[in-house]
Amino acid sequence: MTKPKPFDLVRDLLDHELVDVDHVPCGRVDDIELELTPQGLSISALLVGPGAWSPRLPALARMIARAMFGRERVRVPIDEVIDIGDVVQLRSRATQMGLGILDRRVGRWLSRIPHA
Amino acid sequence: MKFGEIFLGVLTAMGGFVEIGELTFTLNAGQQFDWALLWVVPLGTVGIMVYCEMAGRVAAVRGRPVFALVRERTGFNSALLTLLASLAVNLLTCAAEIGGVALLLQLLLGSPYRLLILVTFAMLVLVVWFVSFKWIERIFGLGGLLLIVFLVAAVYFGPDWTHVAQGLLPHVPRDAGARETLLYFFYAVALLSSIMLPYETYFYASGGIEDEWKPADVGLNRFVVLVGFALGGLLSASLVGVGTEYFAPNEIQPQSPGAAALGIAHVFGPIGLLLALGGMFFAFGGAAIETALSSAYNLAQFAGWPWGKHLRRRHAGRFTLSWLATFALAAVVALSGVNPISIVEYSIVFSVVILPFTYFPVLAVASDRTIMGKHANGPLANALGWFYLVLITGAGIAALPLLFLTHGGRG
Amino acid sequence: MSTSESQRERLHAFWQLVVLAGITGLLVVAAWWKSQRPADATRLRLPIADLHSQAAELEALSREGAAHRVTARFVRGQAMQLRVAQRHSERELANLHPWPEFAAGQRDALADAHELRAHLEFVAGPGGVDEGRVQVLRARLGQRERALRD
Repeated sequence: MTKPKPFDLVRDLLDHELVDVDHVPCGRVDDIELELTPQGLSISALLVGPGAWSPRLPALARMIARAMFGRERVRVPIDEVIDIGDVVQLRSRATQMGLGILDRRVGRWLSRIPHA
Repeated sequence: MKFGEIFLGVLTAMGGFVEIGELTFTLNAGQQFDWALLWVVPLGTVGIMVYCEMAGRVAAVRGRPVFALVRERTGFNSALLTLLASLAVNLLTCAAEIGGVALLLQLLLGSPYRLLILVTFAMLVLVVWFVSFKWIERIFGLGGLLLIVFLVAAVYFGPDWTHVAQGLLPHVPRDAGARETLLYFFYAVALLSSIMLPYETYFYASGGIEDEWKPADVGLNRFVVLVGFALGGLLSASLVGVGTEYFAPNEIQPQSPGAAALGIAHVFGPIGLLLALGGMFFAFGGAAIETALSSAYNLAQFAGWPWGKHLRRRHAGRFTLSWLATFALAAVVALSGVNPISIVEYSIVFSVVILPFTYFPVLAVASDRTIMGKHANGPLANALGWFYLVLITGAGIAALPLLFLTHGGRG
Repeated sequence: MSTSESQRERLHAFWQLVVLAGITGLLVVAAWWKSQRPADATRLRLPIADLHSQAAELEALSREGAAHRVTARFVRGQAMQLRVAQRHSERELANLHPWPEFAAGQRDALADAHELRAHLEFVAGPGGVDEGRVQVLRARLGQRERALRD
C-alpha cells in the first residue's frame, strides 16, 4: 500500500483562495477549524472573514482590526470543499454560504452608474 | 501567436517603461555624474525582465497573479505588511504621475495647477471606466513611444562613445569626495528602484491574466519582456545621455516635465518640444493608471475578491471601488501642492525596501517544478533570480541610510 | 475569549502601543532637534543649489524662447512653474538659522533669490528677461554653491 502523501495545512490550504461552483473568487482561507476525532485531528471547517484573520495579527493590530472590520466570520464546512489545488473549489455558490456579500452590495450600488 | 499582437506587445512594453520618477532620476543622474551611472540602466532592465518574465510565466501557466503568491507563500502577516507598503508606495507614485500630467497640461493651457489636477483625475477615471484593458495598454503604451525623441536627441548630441562605454562598467568617479560618493550610491539605488518598481510586476502579471494568457503564451511573454523592455531600457539610457550632454553643461537639475523637455527643444525646436511633452503625457498618464489598477489588483488578490477590468463593475465591486479610491486619494495628495518630483523620489526609495518581499514569492513559485512542471525556471533564470533578489535586498537595506545621509538625495 | 485571555491581549496591545509611540516619539524629537540646530555649510548649500539650477533653467528658457525653439506659451507656463519652485527654495533658505560664519552668505544668497524672483516676474512681460543679468546671477549662485561645497 502506498504511503499517503503528507498534506501541509499551512502551505497547501491556509491563505489559499476560495472559489465557488461558478469559479467566482469568494475570499481566502483565513483560518482552519480542526476537530479531535478518535482517528486524530481532522479539518472540520474553513473560516473566512475578519473574525478569522484578526486573531493572527499582533495584539495591537488585532484590536484595531476588530474595531474597523468587526468580528464577523463565515464558517465553510469541509464538506463544501470538492478540490484543493491552487485554489480551494467549493461545491455551492458564494451567496449560499454567506460569502462575498459586501462585494455584491458594492456591485449593486455601482451598477446604478452607466456602463457598469 | 499573431505577429501584430507580438509587435504591439513589444511597443507598449517599450512605451510604458518610463514614468515621472525614472525620467527625473535618470536625467539628473546624467546631469550629476555624466555617464558614470549608465551601468545601472542595463542592470535594472535585466532585473525587471527576469522578474516580469517569471511573474508572467506563472500567470500564463497557473493563472496565479503576484499578490496571490505573496500571501500564499509568505503568510498573512508578512503579506499584509507588503500589501500596506505597496499600497502606500503606489499611492505616492500615482499622486506624482497625476501631478506630472497636471504640470504638463499647465504648460499647454496655462490654467491653475490645482484645477488641472482635478481635470487629470476626472480624465483618468473616465478612461479606466470606459476603455477596455487592451485599449488602455495600447493607447498609453504607444503614446509613450513619443519619448523616442529623447533617444534621437541623445544620439544627435554626439556623445563621446568612449565615455558611454566606460559608463557601462560600475565605477565611482575618480575625483569624487565622500559626499559625492554617497550621492553616487544614492542615485544608483534610486535608479535601480525606479526601473524595477514593484507595481510594474504586479500590473504585468495581472495584465497577463486579464489578457487570458495560457501556457502556449509563455513564448509571447518571454519575447515581449526581452525585446520590449530592452528597448525601454535603451530609452532610459538615452535619458542619461540627455542629462549628460544638455543639462550638465547648462548647470540645470531638471525638476519638472517642462525642464526635461527643454533639452529636446534645444535640438529639435517646437516639434521636438511637442513630441517630448506628448510622450511624457502618455507615459505619466499610463503610469497613473497602472499604479491605481495595481493597488486594486493587490488588495483584491490579497483578500480573495473578484477582480479584473474584464469583469463588469457590478461583479467586481470592491475591486472597482479600490482603483477609484486610489485615484481619489492620489488626487488629494497631489492637491496638497507638494512637488510631484519630491513625492516620487520618496516613493521610489521606499519601493526598493519592499521589493524583496514582492520578488521572493515569485521566484519561489516560478522555480517550483511541482507547480510549474516543464515551465519551471531553468538554471539561468534561477541564477539571475537569486542574484537580483540578493542585489535588491542589499539596495533595500542601503536605501534609507543613503536617503538620510544625502539629505533626501540633494547632496 | 475568556476574561484572562482578553486581559492578556489588552496588556500586550498596551505594550506594543508604548513601543510604537516610543519609536515615533524618538523620531519626531530627532527631527525637531535637527531642525533646531544651526545650519552648517551643507544645509545652506542645498537651497542655494536649487536656486542656481533655477537661474540656469531661466537662462536656458529665455535663450530657447528667443531662438523660437519653444513657444511663448511654453515659456510663460514653465516660468510660472519655476516661480513656484523659486518661492519654495527662497522660503527654505530664509527659514534656516546658520552658524554665525555663514550668516553673511545666507543674506547674500537671499538677495540673489529676490533678484531671481524679479527676473521670473519679467518673463511674461514685453522684452522678456535680461539674459545678461540672469547669466551673471546664475554664475554668482554657482560660485556660492561651490564655495559651500569645498
